[in-house]
Amino acid sequence: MSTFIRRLLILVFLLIGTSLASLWIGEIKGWNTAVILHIRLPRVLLGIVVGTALATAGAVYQGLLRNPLADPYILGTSSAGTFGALVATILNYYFAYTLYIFSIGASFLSVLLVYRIATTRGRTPIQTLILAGVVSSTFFSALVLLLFTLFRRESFSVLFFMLGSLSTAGSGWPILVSALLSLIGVLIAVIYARDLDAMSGGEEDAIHLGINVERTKQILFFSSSLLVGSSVALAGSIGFVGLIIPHILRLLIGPSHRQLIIGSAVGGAFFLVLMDLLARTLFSPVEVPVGVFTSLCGAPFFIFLLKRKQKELVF
Amino acid sequence: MITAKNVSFGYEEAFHLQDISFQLERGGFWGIIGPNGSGKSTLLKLLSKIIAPQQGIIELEDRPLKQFGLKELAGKMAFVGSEAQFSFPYLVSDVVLMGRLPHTGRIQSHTDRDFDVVNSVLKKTETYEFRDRYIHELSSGERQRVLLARALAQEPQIILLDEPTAHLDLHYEIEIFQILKLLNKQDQLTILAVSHNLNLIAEFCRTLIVLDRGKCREIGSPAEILTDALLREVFRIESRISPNPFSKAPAILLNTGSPGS
Repeated sequence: MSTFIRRLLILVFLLIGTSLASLWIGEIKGWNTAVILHIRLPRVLLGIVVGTALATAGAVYQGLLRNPLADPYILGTSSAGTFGALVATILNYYFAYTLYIFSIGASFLSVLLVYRIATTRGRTPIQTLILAGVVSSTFFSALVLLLFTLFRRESFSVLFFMLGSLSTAGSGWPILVSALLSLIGVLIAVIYARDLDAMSGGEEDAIHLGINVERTKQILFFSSSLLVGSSVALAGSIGFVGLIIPHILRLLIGPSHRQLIIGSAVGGAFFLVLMDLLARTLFSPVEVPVGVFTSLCGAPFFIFLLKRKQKELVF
Repeated sequence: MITAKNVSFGYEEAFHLQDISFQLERGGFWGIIGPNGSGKSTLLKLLSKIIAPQQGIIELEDRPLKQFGLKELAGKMAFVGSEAQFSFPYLVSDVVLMGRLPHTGRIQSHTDRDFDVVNSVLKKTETYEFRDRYIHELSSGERQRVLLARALAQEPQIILLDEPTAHLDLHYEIEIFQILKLLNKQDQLTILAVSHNLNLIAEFCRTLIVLDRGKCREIGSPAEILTDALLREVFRIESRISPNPFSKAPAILLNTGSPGS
């Protein structure tokens, strides 16, 4: 059995273990079918879907932008998707379609915009990318706050949208839609993974290896928007999952993107289910939005990577 | 193998390349020389379909280059640049395996033949011993040989090289050209290389294209076309050309104006 398969299996077991623990642990002790089936199970499933989606999107962004600091949250894609989801909600077209169309569409447009701003002559320097991401993220967060102020909705909390939470898991079928959309996103990413390997030496280099770089970029930006949009539509913008997980996986199973993407998909699910378990039990009975926890882990991690990267690049 | 007919590239009045024509036969070992900004890299970009000519036509095996898909083209033509920076820590064997992409379907996994090809090109470029090391840990000379191995893994009929030895010391520079010469001889690989090292180019290439401000100044064998006058006019250097006592190829002795001792 190859090292990759072995490590992937370990991640799968970790995911299953954490999920089972999450079903069992909570404020209401003991076996309570209603709580486990209708409250904890949807939440664990949502955690799996969102964690998979965000980590995969992070791996794709990092490959596309040839930049290990890219992540849906840092690039502002999550905020844009959140904004789209909120617009859909306020427009009162609270059918799943519009929700997804708006959040995926906004994610897609914002990532293209950030990419355009940050790229000159086929290069995407780390500084401009992060700046463009910060600007986009701040802009869309401001829009989200504006909409909240103008259209006060009792049923949604600002915290939920801005920091991300899995607490509104609710009914099963939106989770199913998100799961299907994410699955499509992951599959596209896996199919185009070798293109990302070829692009790691630069875009012209990839063309010499026979890759249609422009088409690959469009397809992968779209697939990552499917992932980000379908997850923020239900969970708001949860930060740093897409940064941390691909990094750890790159250390564990190497940089080849096919394995990295599959590994990140499983690793992201495990990480988010674990974080959510902590978020809802650590300060019980008070529940913290899971985004608080991922950002508390992620921000220092980001600084660490940035400092390490600084040694290689001249700022 | 490759034919260029009246090829021009540029914007409005300022042409980067103007009216270039040549016919490179299979098995040729050609060099492109010219001062900075003479259009050498532009010519390689045109030949490898990174950019398209505004005028003229380029043909590969008597078919217009336009008709080739990028993937099909990559299976016939490979490219080695002066440096490639990898954004992630790939193993040398992973990098060389990327050269199999033109022959691999999207969903297909790599076959035994892919790994056989990788092993054989690693050996040809004397990089087999580094196959389990990280690409960014290698010295420039080792890394260029790995990139050459990746290009060979594409199983091309022609290989374009844009200053492949730009960052290398003389030893590694000669080594790269010796490997190219062997490939040219043994595998009938067609080679077209850009280099600033005129002595090395004159030593190894059988035909030279001299570019000067976007125009083709001369095409011919090094012995025919390398003259004191050409070097003065095109490269703006004072020199004397005399045969290399070892190989009889034209060697350039520079007159830098420094006083003799």
